[in-house]
Amino acid sequence: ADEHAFQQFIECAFNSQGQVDRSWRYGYDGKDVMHVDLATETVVGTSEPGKRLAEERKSTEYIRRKEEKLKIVCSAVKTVFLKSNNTLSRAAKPTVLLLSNGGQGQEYLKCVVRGFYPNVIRVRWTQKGKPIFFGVSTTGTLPHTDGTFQMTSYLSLGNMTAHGVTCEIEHLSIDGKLRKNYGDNPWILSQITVAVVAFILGFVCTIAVIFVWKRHQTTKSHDDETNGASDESEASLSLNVMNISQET
Amino acid sequence: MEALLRITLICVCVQAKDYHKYGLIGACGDADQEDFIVQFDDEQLAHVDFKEQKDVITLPEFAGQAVLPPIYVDAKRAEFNCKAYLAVLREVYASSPEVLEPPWSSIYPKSDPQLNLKNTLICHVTGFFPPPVRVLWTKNNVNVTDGSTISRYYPNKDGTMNVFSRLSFIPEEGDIYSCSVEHKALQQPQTRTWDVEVKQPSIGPSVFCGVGLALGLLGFATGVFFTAKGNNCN
Repeated sequence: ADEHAFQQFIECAFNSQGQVDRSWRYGYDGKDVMHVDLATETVVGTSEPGKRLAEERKSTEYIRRKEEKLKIVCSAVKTVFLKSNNTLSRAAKPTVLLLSNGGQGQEYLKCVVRGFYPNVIRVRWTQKGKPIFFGVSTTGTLPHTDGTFQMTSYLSLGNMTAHGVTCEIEHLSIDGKLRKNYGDNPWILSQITVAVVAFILGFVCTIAVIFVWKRHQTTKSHDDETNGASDESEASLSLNVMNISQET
Repeated sequence: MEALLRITLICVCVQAKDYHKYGLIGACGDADQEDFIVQFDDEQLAHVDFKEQKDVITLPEFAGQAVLPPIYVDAKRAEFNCKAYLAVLREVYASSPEVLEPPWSSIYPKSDPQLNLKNTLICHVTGFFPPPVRVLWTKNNVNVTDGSTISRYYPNKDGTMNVFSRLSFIPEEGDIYSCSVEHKALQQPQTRTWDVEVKQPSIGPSVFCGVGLALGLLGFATGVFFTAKGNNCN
């Protein structure tokens, strides 16, 4: 037994200035059938059977009934839209991960873009400023369980080197472009971090040793001062002896 | 003509960043199926659960709570009209060939896979018509019957449908998972494969380098110290 489905789309488009567009569309088995054209006040069939169906509905009464319904729906939706504008216009910035993958001769780069909202996004590959179009494939925009979206773009390297390749992302939540260069890997970053920490430790050891050495030098200087004091005492004794001789 | 119009529409939507579109989508099928959805841009705000006779808000949590007017009453009225249209269209389209749209599927993990840590594999099937689709999972070429679920059907803008199947799993080195999609419009099942290739961060060389550097600097400092001490003795 054949199964069929009918779909009805009632749409209202808004921007910050107010209502932009209204439309009413019908679909049968996943295909457009006809739609109501409010500008010309006609029902437009978009397929052969749809044209016959539209012909039967070419009456001003029918169109006015649809227009009235649209006004009611769009008015209610506009109220919701104005209340929810700040909420629904919120944006979430994506995180980007650039990885290499694949075996010998089948190497490719993978740019994982995750956690963005809304779902309109542009992901591009460039090498030294020039865009790359061949060998690019993508998962398309996929949803994430927390309500944000994700997408992965793949770049087959072929004969190309990965040096200088960049993944560029344009999104509502980003000013300008977010760029991820190949080689900006988190693992490399952690390696650099470990190396820097090690260097700092070595440097601290050096400073500590020099400090200990300087303390040793200061101790010797103190001994010299003691000798100086001893010399002065001998001089005083000599003067006293001379004074006694003169009196006799 | 239609394709050109759609491309134009897409361009307009993309260029005007503060351009938003609300939509109400009502649908029904022969086997007493019905659906009613509120959509904002490409996001589904709510749908009607006809069995429970209530609205189900599906807006993501981080977006806060949007206030929606009750839609159940409208959904019931839409359902009634939908059935009437369906009866008429069935006759009008009786001589037309059956519309079949093949699905397109993607497989991806819910979160970054780490060895021996529980995760979820998701198979997203989109662009097909009519429902249903069947999704089968395999692990290392063996059918998996436990731990998989399939979601309700969601409409796309162009009238086709999409659905999600989820499989709970624990990534282990070398495992190969696949999801196969069966649909009336496909000559053979459409299979997507996902390998467990979790890359361990190579910390070893860094640690070796760091320790070596530290030891080198320590040796250098010791040398400087004893050199200075030797000169002082002379």
